[in-house]
Amino acid sequence: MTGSPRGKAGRFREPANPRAVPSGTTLRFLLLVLAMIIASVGMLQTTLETLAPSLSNGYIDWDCLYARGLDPHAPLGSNLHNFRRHNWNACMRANSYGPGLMGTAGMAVLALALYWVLPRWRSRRGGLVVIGEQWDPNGEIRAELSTCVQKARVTPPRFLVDAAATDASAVVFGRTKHHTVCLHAGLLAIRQSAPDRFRAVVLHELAHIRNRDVDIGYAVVALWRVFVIMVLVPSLLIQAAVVVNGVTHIWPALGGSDLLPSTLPINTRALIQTFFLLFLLTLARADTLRHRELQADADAIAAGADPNAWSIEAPAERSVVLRSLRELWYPHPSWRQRRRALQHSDALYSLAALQMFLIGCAAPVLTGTLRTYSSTNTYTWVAAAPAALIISLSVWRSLLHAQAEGRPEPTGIRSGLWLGLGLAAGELISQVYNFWVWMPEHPEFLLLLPLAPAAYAAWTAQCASLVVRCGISVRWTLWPSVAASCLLAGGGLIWWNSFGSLALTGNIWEAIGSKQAIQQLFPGSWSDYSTELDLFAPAFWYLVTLGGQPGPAGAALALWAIPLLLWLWPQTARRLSDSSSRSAGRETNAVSPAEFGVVHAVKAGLAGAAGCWLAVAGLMAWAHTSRPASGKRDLAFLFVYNGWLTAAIWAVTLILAASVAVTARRLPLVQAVIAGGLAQTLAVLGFFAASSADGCLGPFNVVYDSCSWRPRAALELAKWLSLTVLPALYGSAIAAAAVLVLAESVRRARPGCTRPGPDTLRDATPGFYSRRRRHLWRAGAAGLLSTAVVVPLWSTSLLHSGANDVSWSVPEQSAPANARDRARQAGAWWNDPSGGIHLYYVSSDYNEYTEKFDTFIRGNPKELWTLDAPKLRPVCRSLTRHARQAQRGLPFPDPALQKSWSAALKFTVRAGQNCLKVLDHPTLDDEPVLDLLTDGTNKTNKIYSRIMARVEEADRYWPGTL
Amino acid sequence: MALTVREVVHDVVCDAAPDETPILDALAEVGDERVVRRMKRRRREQLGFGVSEMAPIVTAVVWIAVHEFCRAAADSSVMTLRARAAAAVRRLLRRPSPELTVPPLSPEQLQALHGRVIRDAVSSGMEAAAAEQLADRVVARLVLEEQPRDAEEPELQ
Repeated sequence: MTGSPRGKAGRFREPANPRAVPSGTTLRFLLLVLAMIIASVGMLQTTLETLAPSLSNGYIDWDCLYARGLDPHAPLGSNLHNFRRHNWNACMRANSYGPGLMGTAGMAVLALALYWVLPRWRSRRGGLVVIGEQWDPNGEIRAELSTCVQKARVTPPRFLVDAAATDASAVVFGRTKHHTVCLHAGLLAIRQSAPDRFRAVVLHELAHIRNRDVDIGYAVVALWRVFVIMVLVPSLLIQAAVVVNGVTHIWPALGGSDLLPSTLPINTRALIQTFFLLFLLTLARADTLRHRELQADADAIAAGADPNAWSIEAPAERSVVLRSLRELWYPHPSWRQRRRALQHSDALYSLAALQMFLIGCAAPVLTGTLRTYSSTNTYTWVAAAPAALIISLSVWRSLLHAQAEGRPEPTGIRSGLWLGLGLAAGELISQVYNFWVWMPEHPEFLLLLPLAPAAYAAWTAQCASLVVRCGISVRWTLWPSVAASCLLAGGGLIWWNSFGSLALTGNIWEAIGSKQAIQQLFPGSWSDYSTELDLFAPAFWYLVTLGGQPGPAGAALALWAIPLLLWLWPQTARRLSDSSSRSAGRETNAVSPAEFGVVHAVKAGLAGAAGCWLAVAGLMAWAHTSRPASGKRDLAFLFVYNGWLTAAIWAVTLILAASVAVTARRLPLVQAVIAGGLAQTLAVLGFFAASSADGCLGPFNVVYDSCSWRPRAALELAKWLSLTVLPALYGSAIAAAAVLVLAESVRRARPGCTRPGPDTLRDATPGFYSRRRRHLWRAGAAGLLSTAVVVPLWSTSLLHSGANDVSWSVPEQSAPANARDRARQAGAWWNDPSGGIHLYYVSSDYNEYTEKFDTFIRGNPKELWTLDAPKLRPVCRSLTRHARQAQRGLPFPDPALQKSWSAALKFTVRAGQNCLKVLDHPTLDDEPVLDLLTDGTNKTNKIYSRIMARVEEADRYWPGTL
Repeated sequence: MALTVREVVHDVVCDAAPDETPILDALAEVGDERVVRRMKRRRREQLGFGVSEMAPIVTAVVWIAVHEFCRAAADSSVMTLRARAAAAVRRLLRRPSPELTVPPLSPEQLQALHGRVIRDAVSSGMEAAAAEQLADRVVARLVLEEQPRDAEEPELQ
């Protein structure tokens, strides 16, 4: 999507000054600091716990999980099923993170101290002197510096000379309000011969002061150094030791080795995650510092520096790869990058692919870490909000810059895709729900992930474009728009973290009994709708999480409501503008509504609504023919009816969105969303009207047979439908984004296309459309799109294949296939306070009964036996009590053994109760009681020996666990 | 008393580039090793301008060349581990290293030093003639040292 750049500012148009929008580099530094703090709490906690186990209050009690049937080699679904049966929360001990928090506070204090000391330490270095009479006998240098300070509009810093620095450069250091510009002796040496260079260097340094780079940059450096030394290096060493220990068992004190093999992926992932974090932070820090340098260059030139001062020839690099790596890694930009940034200032006003990728990576890693600190989503905003803010601001800046420069507007698609790729990579690394396996069960869903951020970035860019085109004051609309897009991004991230990423684990909803939940919620004759239930159940829960919660539902509405509002807002102003300009006879920037294409969107929306009505009518006619008898139209029938209606409206909305995006000339995504929103709103209203008249519609009657006006019942149905239909707006945005990706790839792939791309500097750089890149782009886009089509189809076919073997009960957990896991479960169960101890007590009671049998009876021979009540009663009472406790206790993790154990307990309770009854009533026959007790002894001994054999295996496989 | 590298640099700078004497004064308290190391350092500092090439400064050219030449001549034997450790500690504590003295130099060595100064000076941006003149001065100062120094000492002080 490109828009023709318009002329200079008109009456109702603010001068589009990109610098009116914050650059976001301060926010990027903030994100860096946040990343370090968030990571350090967990890392310090782990390190301290490993070094001093007394500090441990581990988050996950693995033994507890094993005792409750954790099978590390089973799919997450079956484990989650267990989660429902047993209270696993008991195993997830709330971690106070006290030591970690204290350590982080200590790190912050140390960083603050370092921040304070660093400039002082630096100034005390020998050879640094004030520029006095000796250096500047005529006062020329000081006068020049004073002029520069005035031009740069900064508080005069202290100027020093580093006599031992021979390069013609300078550096600025210090802390808040105490800045020092240190001029190198080499710079003074060239002052006479190259006065422009001298001025450029000084103005560059002063720009750093003006941009607060010194304050923020050195604070980040101080924190970074302390973080690396205090947190990162010890944590890496400890994690590496734990991984090695897991394989070699050479340091028993480190612990964790007995949990192998299940924790190998966990420990290794923790190590990889730490390395990844180090990599991420290094790249992000270098990138942000580079951006600061480029900004200082631009500011220096704006303050009057000669651009020729930057024409310094750097030694040619032999390898292009090496040069690229160096440029990526170094916190200072190369001369090539600096000159390029001065020629094409886009780099200063937009986020490059790398930056988007890094932010994308950081988001799931940080939110994943935050989720381990607290189960609530509130903390997720701590990481999500700044990330979303950075992206939104950058989209705005790049758009305003493009307008000011007269370049094509950025679509945001490319940036969004990179953001999404980063999210996918970060998700793979963090893996909240699949942390104990190497790869999620369905990693293919990660390939779909980039489309949502692409839609988000495109939506933000197009809303910003709408603001500027409508001539609305940027000052007033920037922050509300940015806030809206932040809410959208943050909400989206939280939804993905909580629900969306569940898709990676397969059909998780079924595993946790979603179908049963639906059957309970919508009681009815479900046996007639088994196929539909299989088809709609997983989708229903996803839709409920999106449309049934105020946050995501509000965001979906905002998707089309905000652009529509922006469009409606300036109408009056524009009319005024038109009339006043006509009367004044001068040119104006006022644009016709058709220029935004919103009229096109509204027309498309009306056509879509007509399509939806047709589909609804068709479904009503079909439901009329296939509906059950009047008494059997229960909630199950309505659920299925609603399911088909939802599917139809979704299909129409998606097709509509894609076709609008294809045909729209301007703001295609916004148009698609507006059309989709309009269509589905009218569709739901139409459905409400039709349902209200249900019974009077002849062949379209669905629920009722008698004609009557029933708005209340219809309202319930319409509310239900709107809940499941609302998320289609997300679908339409993503469909439009997919079309834009396709359009972009076709445009780029077209040979001979030389039009500069929209998003970043790289796009505008000559040579970008090289053959190789074109192929890469084409292949990547084709892969993404085919996944977008194939994966949903495939998952639907999976659902269909599963529809034949409908199991109405929650699937029974089977014992682990792995003998080591089985043994581990048995050992953990035996050690658990509500597990093996009950078996021990019951067995002991029976042993006591057997051993002291002779003392419980009086009389001889056997026919004359009478029970010695005072002696036998305690045994029977204890047996009954212990058996009942065992019934309430933890079931044995192997279902087959648990069945026998449960039967033995039931038998024991009966025997114990009978025993007490006979002892209380001596007239009753006591012989069956003795038989029962003897049978109970046999049964219990049998199951005891089977369970103990398993428990002993635990000792064999996992020495020391018992 | 043997002639030190610092004295040679001082004399040459006073003669060839008197406007650079503030550099010598500023570095009076900094040890030779440290001065040379910092003069040779080429790195892009955070929030610096990023130029890493050496500017044509007579002091730096002479100091680096004479120091390294004298160091090489004096340290023809490998530096012991202990000496290295002591140097490292000195660097860490920012203590000045003992001043390096000029060892007796053969005509061949002087010739080599002459060439080195010319090379360094030209690569720092000086013109060839000026570089040659500077190298002559350095060698002249060192050769002068071979003569009795009684007449020069008061001047040096």
